[in-house]
Amino acid sequence: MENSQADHQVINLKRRVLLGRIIGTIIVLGALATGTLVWRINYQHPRTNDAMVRANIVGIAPEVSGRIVELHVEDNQYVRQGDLLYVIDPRPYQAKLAQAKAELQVVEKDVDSRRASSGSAELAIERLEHQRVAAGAEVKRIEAEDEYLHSYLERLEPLAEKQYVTTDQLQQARSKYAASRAALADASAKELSARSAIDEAKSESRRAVSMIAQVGNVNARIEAARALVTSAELDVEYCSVRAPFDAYVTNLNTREGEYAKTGMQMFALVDDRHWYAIANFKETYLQSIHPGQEADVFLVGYPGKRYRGVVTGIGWANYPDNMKQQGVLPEVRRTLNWVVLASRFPVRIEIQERDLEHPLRMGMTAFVTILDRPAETQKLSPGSEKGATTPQVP
Amino acid sequence: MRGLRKAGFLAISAVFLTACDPMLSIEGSFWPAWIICILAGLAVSMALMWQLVRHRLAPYLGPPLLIVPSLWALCTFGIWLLFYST
Repeated sequence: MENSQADHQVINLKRRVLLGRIIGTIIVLGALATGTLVWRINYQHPRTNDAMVRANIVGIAPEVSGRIVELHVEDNQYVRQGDLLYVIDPRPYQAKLAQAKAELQVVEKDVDSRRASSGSAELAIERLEHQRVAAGAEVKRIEAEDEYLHSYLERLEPLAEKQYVTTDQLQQARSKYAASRAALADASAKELSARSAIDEAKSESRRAVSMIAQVGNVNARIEAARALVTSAELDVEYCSVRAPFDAYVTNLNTREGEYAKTGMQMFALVDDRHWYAIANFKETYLQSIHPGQEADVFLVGYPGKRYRGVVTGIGWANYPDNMKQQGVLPEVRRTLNWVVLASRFPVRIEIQERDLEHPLRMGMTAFVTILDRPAETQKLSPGSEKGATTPQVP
Repeated sequence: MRGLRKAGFLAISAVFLTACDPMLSIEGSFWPAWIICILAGLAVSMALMWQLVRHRLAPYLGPPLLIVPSLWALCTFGIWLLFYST
């Protein structure tokens, strides 16, 4: 009896030892297997909690200076593209516009007047040309007469030596020839005078044309005046500042009466068309991340809420913290880094889902997991309007 | 018995569905999944080890220096795979 009990205990002990060995082996092998699986999943689906929600921010600054007379938005308000944000006192710019328009009219009249003057100068040139032609003809006539009188005198002089003609006839011929020479000189001078007058008139005409400043079909003076009008119109238009896209007003801490300076940002708009999660992944995971991959975005502010996203890009540059420069020389510090930390690169994930109950806000802490599959919507472009039709918060 | 099973199934499903969030918030501080898994793994491994001791199997598992950390690691990895792997 005692022997059978002892045998039973030995058998139980053996069973317990065997079972213990099996469980021990399972525990060790299971730890190795699950550890490998965890490592593999982590590598295939990189995840990080070093992520943040962000949107594009545009500072709203006026193009013109002036006092704000109307402010149509409140802080944190949703605005649609084209909504009036604020109005700068337009009266000085309206006055400048009226002045520019008046100057345009003055220039147009002046150009018309100069065009008329240029036409008169052309007529004067034509008239002087006729006078010059007449003077030239007179010169030729006198030259012909002078030539005849000269030959007549040359014929008379031998005859006078033989006394075939009287002295009076010879004297008369000489006088006529001398008078002809004087008339020729006078006619030549008149022709030269006509030429000079033509040159002067042409010079005047050119000056008048240059004052008109016409180049082809374009009149430079009128165009310059029109440009001033356009610029003044733009300034008046700039007095009314409108929302460039659907957005949320943020950091608005001013009211009517504030003097707005050109380029000074009054507040910012949060672009509601595209929301992103910027996740800083270790460089060791980058080869598992590609644009177009689907991603899960969890926000710590909304426990259990999952947003679908798509990887749109991986940052190309980080500030190299080991390459500082002192003056013109690199500053190389002596280090003894045995354990080197991996750099992190920002991965941009466009959030494709919106939820009215869970609005996105820039700066929210996020947890991002990259999935090993392509997103349904491929190749999202910055101009995509998905999810931008309705505001997150009514 | 069937009702009990149904309730248990619903409870387990609820745990699976809600526990997917990879961050645990405690008064505004967010704890990562791996810390939660390590702590939960420690608790579960202690419970399992207590059961093994109760059934007098602990002395035959193998070297405690290997078995105890392995059990902790197994529980930690198992919890992570169950609740946080997706």
